[in-house]
Amino acid sequence: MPSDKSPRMETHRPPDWKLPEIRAVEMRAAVYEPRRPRNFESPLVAARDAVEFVVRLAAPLPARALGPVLWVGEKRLTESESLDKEGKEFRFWSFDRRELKEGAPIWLVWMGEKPSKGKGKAKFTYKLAVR
Amino acid sequence: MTPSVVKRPENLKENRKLLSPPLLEQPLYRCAVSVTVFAYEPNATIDVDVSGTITSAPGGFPVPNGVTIHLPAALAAGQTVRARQKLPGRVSAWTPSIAVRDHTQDYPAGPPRPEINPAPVYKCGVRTGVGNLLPGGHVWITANGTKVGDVNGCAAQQGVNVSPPYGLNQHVVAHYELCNDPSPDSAEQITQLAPNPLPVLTIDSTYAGGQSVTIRNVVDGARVTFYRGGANQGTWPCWGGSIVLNGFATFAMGEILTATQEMCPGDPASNPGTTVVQSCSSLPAPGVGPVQAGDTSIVVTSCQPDAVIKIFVNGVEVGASGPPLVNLTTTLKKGDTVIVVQDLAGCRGQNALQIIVACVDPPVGADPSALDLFPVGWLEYNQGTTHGSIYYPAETDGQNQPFRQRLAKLGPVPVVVMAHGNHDPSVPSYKGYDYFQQSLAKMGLVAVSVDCNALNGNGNGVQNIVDRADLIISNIAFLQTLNTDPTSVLNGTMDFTRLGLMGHSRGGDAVVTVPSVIALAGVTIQSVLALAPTNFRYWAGMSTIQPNGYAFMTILPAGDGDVTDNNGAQFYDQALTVPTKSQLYVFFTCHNFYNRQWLDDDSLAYPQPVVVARVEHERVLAVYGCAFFRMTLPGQNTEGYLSGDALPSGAMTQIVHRGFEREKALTVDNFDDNNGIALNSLGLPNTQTGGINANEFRFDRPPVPPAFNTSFYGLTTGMVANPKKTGGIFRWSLKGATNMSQREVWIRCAEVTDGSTVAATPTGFSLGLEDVGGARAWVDCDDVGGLPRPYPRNPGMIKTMLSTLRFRGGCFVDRKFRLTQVVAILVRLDRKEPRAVAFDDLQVY
Repeated sequence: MPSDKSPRMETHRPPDWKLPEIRAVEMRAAVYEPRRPRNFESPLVAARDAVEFVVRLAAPLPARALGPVLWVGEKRLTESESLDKEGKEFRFWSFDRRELKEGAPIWLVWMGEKPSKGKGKAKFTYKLAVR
Repeated sequence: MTPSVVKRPENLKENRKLLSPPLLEQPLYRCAVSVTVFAYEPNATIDVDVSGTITSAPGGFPVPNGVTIHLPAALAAGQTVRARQKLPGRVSAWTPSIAVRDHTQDYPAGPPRPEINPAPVYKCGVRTGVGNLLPGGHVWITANGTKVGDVNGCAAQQGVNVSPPYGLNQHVVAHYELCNDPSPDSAEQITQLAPNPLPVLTIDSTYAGGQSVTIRNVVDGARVTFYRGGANQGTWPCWGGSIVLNGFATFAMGEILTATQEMCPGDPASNPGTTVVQSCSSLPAPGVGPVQAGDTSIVVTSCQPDAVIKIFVNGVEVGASGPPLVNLTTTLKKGDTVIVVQDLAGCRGQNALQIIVACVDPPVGADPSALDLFPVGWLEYNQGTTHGSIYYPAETDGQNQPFRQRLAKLGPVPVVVMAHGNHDPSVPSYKGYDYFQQSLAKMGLVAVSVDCNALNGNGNGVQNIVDRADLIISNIAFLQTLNTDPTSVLNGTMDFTRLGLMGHSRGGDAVVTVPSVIALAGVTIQSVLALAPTNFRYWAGMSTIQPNGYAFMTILPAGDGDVTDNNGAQFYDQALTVPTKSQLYVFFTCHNFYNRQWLDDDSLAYPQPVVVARVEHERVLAVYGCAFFRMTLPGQNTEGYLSGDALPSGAMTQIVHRGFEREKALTVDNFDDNNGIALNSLGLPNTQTGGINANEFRFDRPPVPPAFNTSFYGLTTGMVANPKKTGGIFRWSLKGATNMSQREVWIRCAEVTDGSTVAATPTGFSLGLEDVGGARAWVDCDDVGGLPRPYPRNPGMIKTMLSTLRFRGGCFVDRKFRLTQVVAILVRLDRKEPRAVAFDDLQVY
């Protein structure tokens, strides 16, 4: 029987976890109330001096195990929730506004990563809206 | 030690009287009308002694299926059975006596379900293999409800001749009974058309002086015709795969052997497969399974089917028999030189396998996921926010089938609840563990997979994990209502005091959370398996949950492209060993392929080694997961597969690096006592000499002081020895003099990486014991499996990940050393090139 010779197939597909660009960020003082579980007391505590960051993205956030982290200066915000069905608008929480510094650059990265220093100037900086 | 092939030494001391006892197939049950014996020399006579009544039968050839000997009367409970082999001028010792049991002691819900193996079956097939049988029972096959084959007094894997041959689209089922106790029927096979043309057969290498041939590539149910130099030797029916033909006059070098196969009369046979008989001098050395100190037998993994295997230890013959196992007249010791050869009727093998006996090289055992007792039913539930799938032992396979009544009568069964992680919510991720659910259900557990898609893609952080834990608990509560619902097929079948949890990715994070918050009445969580879990609490700066009060296991894919930190290592480090904890660091696997619905290969997110096939990921979860849940829920004896007493078959164990701890152990030093490097966990002094340069470091990720470097990903304190020169020794004092002869020293350890590179060569150490008189004995880590190496993934994510090595007390031998009076444990970094080694959890078992 004749022998075949063929190029190797790409049998596996890599994930597309590219983080979308931030289109807009709104920041405001807010009260954080953790969602109440039906079956137990939440380990998360309410925060009266919280700040919410509503982040609008250019594309839906890819779904993966790790979550997105919003870095505000040196502060890492790991709690977030989707505000739309598309997954393009997220609310991030800082539980203590005293930890945030006015003018601090805002970056979006995946959990476990740090903002790359080579990315240049941040498009958005922290400034709390006065209500 | 890796075996090596050598020329058969001339100075071996042969013992022409030696004949090893054969192997008697176990277990033996009441009502069996036959027993099967393996591992004897070709043409031996086999004696079977049933409580003093001896039945003799010619054994023929032991490969492939031994000899099944029909007894004059069915076995009765309480009888004892033993066997021996005889050849002219030689008689083996008897095997140990096996007590006959009642099968309902081991299978209270009836005999296990037969398996048509191999499958599928074809039109015109004349023989079918049936496996998963209790030996000595009655197996028969029906096609469209009509009996077409029958064997009373079967072996565990039995060939059943089929007459008349199968037609097309017939429904073929295997049936079994023992003591008038029927098993569930096998899964149904529907006969198909065989491939056309039939594939060409292949014939294994055959050697001058041999009497057997192995023919492969046989279609299920085909008839195989064998020719020798063109002369027809006969036709044999075959259950497919391969067939061994025995008992020919010895072959001569250069003879041409051919074989064909055919199915339906009138249809063409396959083209002939051919081989040429090779010279006797080409006969290769046999292959053997792992060999370790304390072994009293050798498992033969490859040889000619008609071979006599001879075993020599330090030059003296200590075993002679046929495959697949040779019992020895001695117990192997670490460092013994074992020579294994094979001889044929007309050929004395010239190639030998040489093995230096290791201290620890565990044997290969059974496949913990292969226990197949019941058909599997399944259903979907959807009630409010709770949704998922349930697999359970049933009367027959299929959706909404009745629960297996005979099992239900014995009481409610354990439950395993699974939860997937964050993924595209349009994908039914909860269906991705159906293979694992099937495995658990067919062995008698209820396996539930919760649909968590309502929480996918819309939240991140601890709140999302809390929500998942809440959803899992709501699903458990719903299952409890099913358990009390008279209209449910699961009414009264589930035992929530024997509940296990399995979670993947964020689901792994959630199932670690559940035991810490659940307050449902009647629920006791016995075990939690966190597969590639996240640890959002850690990332949020909160304390990591400490698994406690249940058996904990984590599986860490070394090539994980998503949870790149392998956060399950943090849970393992934090888990209290009540009663056990287990970590599997699995090389060449990624995050997604454990879930059948997650298609992307996340390992490709970074430049790193290609991962193994998806099915191998699934085998790791099914094999080790079943071992874990069988141990912790029905309480079956599968712990050895996690502790390293044995390797499970059915998974690529060579890519699995184990960590394991039991509750009952003497912890000599876990470095978590805050008492510095100079004191151990017993409060006794540690000393270091010879420039070993050891200290305690945090093993956290990201590094916290005092960190050795950035390559650690755990959550504990351990020791790194970073020698400036070779030969330095670290010494842990023990309390009083300890008899170590029946004990083992366990230590977690790893070669330290800088996080960006893997050294070209491995490093290692020796572990020593010191007696009350100051005498020392050493065992090299290479004699117990070797120091775990870093996984060579992308720079910056190469990890120092510790695994457990076990050193058996009996391996420590030195002329003046007294094993019964040990006062210290030592580590010596004795490689030529001094390199850093990490240690943790030094324990004595």
